[in-house]
Amino acid sequence: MILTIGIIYLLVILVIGFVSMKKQKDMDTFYTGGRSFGPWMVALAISSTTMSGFGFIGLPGLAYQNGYPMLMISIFATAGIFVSFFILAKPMRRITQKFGALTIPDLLEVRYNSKAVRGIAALAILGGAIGYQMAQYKALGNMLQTVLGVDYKLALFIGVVILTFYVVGGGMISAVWTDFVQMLVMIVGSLIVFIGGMKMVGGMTQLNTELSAINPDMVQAYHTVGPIGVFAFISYFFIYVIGHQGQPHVVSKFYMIRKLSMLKWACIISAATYAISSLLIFSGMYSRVMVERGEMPAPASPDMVAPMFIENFFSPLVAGIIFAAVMAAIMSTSEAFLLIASSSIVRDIYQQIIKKGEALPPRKELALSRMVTIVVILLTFVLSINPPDLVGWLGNASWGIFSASLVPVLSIGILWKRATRIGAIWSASLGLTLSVGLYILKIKEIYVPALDTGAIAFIISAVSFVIISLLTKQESSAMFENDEEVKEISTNNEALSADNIS
Amino acid sequence: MFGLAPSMSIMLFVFWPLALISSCLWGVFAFKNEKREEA
Repeated sequence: MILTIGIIYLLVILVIGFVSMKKQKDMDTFYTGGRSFGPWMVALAISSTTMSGFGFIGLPGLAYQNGYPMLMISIFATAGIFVSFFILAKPMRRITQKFGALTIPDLLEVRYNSKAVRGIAALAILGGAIGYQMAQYKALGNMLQTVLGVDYKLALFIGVVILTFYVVGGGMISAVWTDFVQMLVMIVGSLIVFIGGMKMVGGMTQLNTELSAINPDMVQAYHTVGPIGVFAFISYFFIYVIGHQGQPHVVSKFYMIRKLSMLKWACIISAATYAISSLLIFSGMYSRVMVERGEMPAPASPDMVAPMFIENFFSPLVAGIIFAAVMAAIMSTSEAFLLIASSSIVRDIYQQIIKKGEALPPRKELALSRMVTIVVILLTFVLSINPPDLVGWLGNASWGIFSASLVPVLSIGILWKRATRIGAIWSASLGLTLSVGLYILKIKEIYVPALDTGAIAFIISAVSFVIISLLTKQESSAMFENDEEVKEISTNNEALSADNIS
Repeated sequence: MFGLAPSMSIMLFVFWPLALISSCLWGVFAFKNEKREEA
């Protein structure tokens, strides 16, 4: 039964990919879907790409080990969705309309008039996307391994073949449609696990009493001792509340809505659906209690906690739906990452830097975008055969890379006219090198700081951006000049109509 | 609350709903004058 539902789910996704394939015309439709989506589609695409294999496989595993502090990541990410909408949604949608931006580096070049800023941002996106994609593939392999009963490598191969077909064929149109279906499946699956699991453990008070007996720190927002302490809590705030704005796979969805005013309800739909889907993290806490009671065997790896809990405690029909939900979480984020990694190579590095903005024929653009997407898929597949770390920590590190390299130059740059090109180059470079460098030092145990490495890199990147911008000469930016022109034109029009009335 | 430590109770039952309420209010207020701006 589990296998049947899994196959039905995968077939639906493949059909969407096949239908979307015929709608692809050029690079614009491949990477942004031709800005043709309504509020529900965009909102669910944002929540389903925010909720990933990291959230559905990695976080239950970390919650199994550490308890409620890991739920803080989801709580902060919900607030992060709000902050991203608040700061970026309207300006980004306007800018893409005015300047035809397809990617985040496109927008940064308009803001700073600099190919260097574009190049550094494209490299950061590529690096972070490959790291995050490896976390998705590992989660996908673990999940299909349980559903199909085959070994990890074969499971990973099957998942990647399906993903390749519908992402390479259907591009962003297919990605957004599958996101929509996948988010609905994720909501149903999460609610079943949350409510069903809560009944099994005997209610919330019972769950927390038993967790507290194992370790009182498990029911705190942060541990009183050890690595998940108050500094981790502060780090999560920086990475997930502030850093959400730097997640290119999520914020690039702001480009896709048909009309600006349609964004009105998209924020609450995104935040609410993300919050509901993150209830699946409770499966980590439930599993810990069940293992302590002796009703469930201890998992071999924390990444197997969610699949084992579902398989052990739900009927095959329900388990099939939940497994489909977990696969949905992984695949919806994977497709977004594959597309942004591919767009950073084709659009940002090849077309805009190497070819110096030369326009390519639409068919060639599309063929190149598809070819590079396949190369990215193959590269991340090879790297994921023997993944280096737990899904949870790998995902966390990649969020850190995006936050440190992109949030200051994107968000502060959009809000603050005094921000300069030199400040942006330094900030993005420092953010990228520090987030990667400090993470390597941490996993090699050469330097293990109390704050998360991504949060340290983010703080240094943001502070250096402000200081260097203040020390360097302010430049004009096409982004603000056009805003002023638009304001001037509308003021003149208002004055003219007032004259006509009088 | 429900056997949780106060820090987690605040985050789960106050901060989380507050994030959702803010999202709703953003939609209401950010687009209050949008029709006029778009026109």
